Formats: sequence, C-alpha cells, structure tokens
Amino acid sequence: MFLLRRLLWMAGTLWLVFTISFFLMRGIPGGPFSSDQKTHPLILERLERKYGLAEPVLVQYGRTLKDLVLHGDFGPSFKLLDYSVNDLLAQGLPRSLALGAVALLIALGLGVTAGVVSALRRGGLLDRSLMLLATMGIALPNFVIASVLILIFVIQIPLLPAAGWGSYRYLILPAICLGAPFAAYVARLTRTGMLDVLGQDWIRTARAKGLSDRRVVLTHALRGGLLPVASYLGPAVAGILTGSLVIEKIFAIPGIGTYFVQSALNRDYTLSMGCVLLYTALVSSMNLLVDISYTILDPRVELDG
Amino acid sequence: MVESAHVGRRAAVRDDRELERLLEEAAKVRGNTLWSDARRRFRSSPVARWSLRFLILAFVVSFFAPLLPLAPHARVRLSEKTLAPFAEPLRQDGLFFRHGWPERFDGGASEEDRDALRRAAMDRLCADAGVIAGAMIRVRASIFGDFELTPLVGTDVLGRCLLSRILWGGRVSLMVGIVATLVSLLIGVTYGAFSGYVGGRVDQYMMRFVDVLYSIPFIFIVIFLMTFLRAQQTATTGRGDKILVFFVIIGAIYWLTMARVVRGQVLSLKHREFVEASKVLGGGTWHVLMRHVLPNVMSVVLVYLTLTIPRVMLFEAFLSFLGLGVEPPDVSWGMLAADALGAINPLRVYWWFVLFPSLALGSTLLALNFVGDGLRDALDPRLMEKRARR
Repeated sequence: MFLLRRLLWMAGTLWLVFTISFFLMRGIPGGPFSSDQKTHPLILERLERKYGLAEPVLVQYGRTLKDLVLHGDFGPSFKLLDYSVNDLLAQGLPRSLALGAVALLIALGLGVTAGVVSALRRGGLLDRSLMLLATMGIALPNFVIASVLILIFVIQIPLLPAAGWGSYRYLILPAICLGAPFAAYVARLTRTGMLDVLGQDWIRTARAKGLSDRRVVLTHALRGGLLPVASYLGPAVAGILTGSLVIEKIFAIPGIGTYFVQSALNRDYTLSMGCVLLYTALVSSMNLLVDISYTILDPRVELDG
Repeated sequence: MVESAHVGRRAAVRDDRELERLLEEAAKVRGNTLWSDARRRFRSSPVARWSLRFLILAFVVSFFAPLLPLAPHARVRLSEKTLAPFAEPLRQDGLFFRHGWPERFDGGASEEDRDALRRAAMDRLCADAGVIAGAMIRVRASIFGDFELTPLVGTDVLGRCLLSRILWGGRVSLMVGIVATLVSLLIGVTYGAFSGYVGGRVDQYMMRFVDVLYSIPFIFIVIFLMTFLRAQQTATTGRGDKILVFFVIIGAIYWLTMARVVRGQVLSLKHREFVEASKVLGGGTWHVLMRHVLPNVMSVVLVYLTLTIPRVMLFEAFLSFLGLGVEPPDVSWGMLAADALGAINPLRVYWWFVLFPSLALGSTLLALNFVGDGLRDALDPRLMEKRARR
C-alpha cells in the first residue's frame, strides 16, 4: 500500500515535471532549428513538419507524452547527429551512476568515521579540527575543492590523470571532489546524532553490563546515531546528482551531467528534457529507497503516505 | 465617617504617588529582550563577530568597487596576459599606481584627441556598467583621473586585471545572494504566514502544494529554463534585465523551506494569549499578523535567511561555472573559478587564477556560514534549553 502510493506520487511528480518543461520549451519563441545562420523558410517549415512542430501545442503534448509513456521514447536529439536521446542517456547513465555511487560511498565512509571519532573525542583538538574541516567542506563549492586538488595531485605530484574516463583511476579524484561536501554534512550529522545517543540510558546500561567500548559504540550507539544521516541521504543524493554536473564538466566525464549541460548550451530541447526527467526519476526513486531504509534502521517508524 | 473618608483619600493619593514612582522606576529598567540577549550572545562568539565584520567589509568594498581606482574589469590587454602578481612587466609603469585609465592611447594623437578618446571610452564603460555603477565610475574619474591600480594579484589569460574582476564579480555574487534571498523571503514569509494564520483546509491545500513543489528537482528545471532564457533574451532585452530575471528565478525556488518554517512558527503563535488579546480588542487580521505574529517569527526567519544567502550564492556560482549564469562582460565568482579551471595545464601553473577567486568566494561563504551558525546559537530558544540542560 505504502509502495503503491509512493509510486503514484512519483509518477505524478514526473508528469508534472514533464508538463512544466514541455510548456516552457514550447512557450518561448525560437525553435530548435532557429540558429545564427538563416535557414530558408521553406526548409525550416519542412523540418518543423517532419518533427511535428507545426501542429497545435496540445496535440504535440499528447503525442510526446504517449511516446514517452508507451514506448519510453524521448525522440531524436535535435543537435547531435544520428543519436536518439535514449542512446545518449543509456550511454551516459552508467558512468554517472558509477561516479555518484563512489562519491556517496566516500561521503558516507569519511563522514561517519569522522563524525563518530569527533563525537567520542568531544571538545578535543581532533574534534575541533574535524568540525572546522567539515564547515569548510560545506561552505566551499566543489569546483574550488576540485581545482585545488587538481593543482596538488595532478600538476604538482602527478599521481592521477587529470580528466577523462577509463580505468578506476579516473574515478578517484572526481568522486572525492563530488563527495567531500556531503562527507562534511554527514560528519556533522553523525556527530550530533552520536552525542544524543551516547547520553541515553540504554547506552549506560550497555556499558554497565560490561561491554567493550568498541561494541557499545559500533553496535549499540551507531544504529541510533545514524538516523539523522539516513534522513539526509535523500537530499544528499539529489545534491550529488546536481554536483555531478560540475564535476563531470571539470573532469570531462561523458556522463549525463555533461550531456545535460551541453544540451542546455546548445538548446537541444529533447535531450535537455530527457535529462530533466531522468534526474527527477533518479531523485524521487532514491527518496523512496531512503524512506524504506529508514524503517530498517529505526523499527519505530511506520511507513505511511 | 468624615475622618475615615479623609484617610481613604490620603491613601489613594499615596497610592497614586507610589504608582507614579513605580512607573518611573520601571521606565528606567531596560528588560532583557530576545534581541538584546541574542546580540550579547552573538557578540560573545569571536568567530561569528569577526565573520560579520569581514562580510560587511566585503560587501562595502565590492559595492563601491566602481569608486576604487581599479582597471576596467573587462579591458583586454594582450600584452599583459597571464602575469603573476608583481611580475616584471607590471612593475614598469609603477609598483602600485600607473597612468592609463580607462585605456592607453599612445601614438601620434594630439592631447585633445586623446582626451576625446578617453572620454568616449569612459562613456562606453559607464553605459556598460548600468546606472548606479556608471555614476560611481564618473565620480571615480573625477577623483583619480587616469590613475589606476596596477593588477596587484596578477592578470588573466586576456590580460584583464584579476583584482578588478574579483571585486566586480563580488558585486554580482553578493547582489545575487541578497536580492534572491529577499525575493525568497518575501514569497516564503507571505505564503507561510498566510497559510499558518488562516489554517484549516486552506492551510492544508497550500502546504500540499509546497510538498508537490518540494518533490520537483528545481535546479534541473532552472538549468533547462536558462537554456531558453539566454537564447531569447540576447535577442530582445538588455543585460541588466537578464541579471534581474536571474535573481528572481533563483529567489523564487528558495522560498519553499522558508514558507514551511514560517508556517510552523505562526501555527504555534496564533493561539498564544497576546495574539488572542489583540483579536479580542478588535485587531483585524492584517494588524494582528503584522504587529504581533510576524515580529515573533523574525528571529527564526533571520537565522534561516543567513543560511539561505550562501546557498543562493553557491547556486549562482554553480550556474555561472557551467556557463549558464551571468554572461560576459559581466563577471561573477563562479565564472572566475571556471576561468581558473580552464586555464590549468601541466606546463605552467597560473596559481593566482585559482588562489584569489577561490579565496574570495571561499572566505565569504565560510563567513556567511559562521554568521549563520552564530545567529542560530544566539536566537534559537531550543538550543538555549539544550545548553541549560547540559
């Protein structure tokens, strides 16, 4: 029941996004074929007829929606020769997902470790410097972090490749740059969560029955302390997807982020719209997953609406 | 009888005097208001205090950047490209100051010709800068003449003065932050206050609408929107309008959280005694809302505001970095960062490209975050309770 409602909600969101972007696209003068060079009006007309741009907007809307829902077809790219939007997205998606997943892992791994450590060493030098680092990570945009890291690890000490896509070595630097701000957030959240939990009675009970520090922290405290982190995962995934636009551009990774920005700059309507929809779908399905994972971490939470 | 009445009157007189005295005394005592408390707490944190000072300084300096004797930020001078701070060619005409603003006119032209050329160049500069900055440039010209600062932090790949670009970029970036946040404030507070105060079914629907908007990833739609806006606006309207539209769009997507926060506060306030009292005394909805409810929401709004500004600035930097935001000849910090990254190459390291814009953007954002945290600690009553318990 819960799943069904959430899936309906998701479908509704996607439809809304589709509608908004469709009418934005059509509502503004200047079609995909208007360019700096003058095209002959007759050729323009034929092109528009071929792609069905001459029909009334509502008819186009219905047809595009039908293509999308029934066949999962976004149509041809308006600017890249010989590619349909589906091809491009299918090509870019695995790369972007790999980058995003590694970045998320880095964010969680680094963030939780730093958060737990600074909660256990509360008020100490380590805690303070970690939290200062976290504030910096939150405040600095990822391209600033990226340019500094590139200067250090690519130019000064040539350890890693500067840009491109290939072996896992191409993934390290972009994933770190992408994950860093979120690691900072996660660290803060973990710290607060752990501090709250460590003050609870049941932690004292666990200690009193003679459990080792490590066991108390890892099995008893961490589960409760991670709750705020779990609810942050949704926004984090959305943020990582957004950040990947910049990171993919910096490191020249041919993922959907790059396609999206390129399509926006080239006014490639169909590709741009496909990317918007794909991103929306990714964000909302991740939110769903996060809500489900929340119940696993905290049995008190019930799923509804 | 008479006697007792007399005593009674005297007692009344004494009471009156007593009351007056008490009132006078009360007038002298200044109670601790939320704001004075907050100010004291805010001042007690050195990080927040210094961050605030830094921000004010940054804001004033970049707002009045056109008044400073800087080189024009868009002036290309290929003979000076990619020069490090205080590189030899920059020191030729003087260590800090040199002649030649707004442009150098060498060669055979006579004194009057050069003057005319200079005036024309200045007019172009003012026209490009818009009304306010244009006026400031004229004032600057009458103060400093054709003196300008040498590019103290180096020049970029086109020989433009990096210092000047950073300060002018700061104008745009800070302006985006403030204007867009104000837009989001206006929409969010109005929406949230109305929804919370009216309550009932209206509130339910209004909040449902916010939920729906929340589930839409607007950042992507904005990028999508900028695609069209750029193409269309270059054709029809001027540059100033475009930046304004840009501000408004950014502001319009950041109001959601503000609306939620304000609504929650208003809901919890509207059944408090002082609000009820004002209603009973005949205060209209508008009066009660403006006079009694909103002032009590302000502390939360202020905290949220300072946390929104850096987010908006980041978003502007993000868009400009992608090439979808502010367009040349305007500059913003995001654009400078993009330029810097574009110029990174293994042969020569132009460290000043990366360092100074990053420093400007980074320190401002960091300071904003510190001020936001400081304000939250100073104003948030829940945190106060927490601290008391510890």
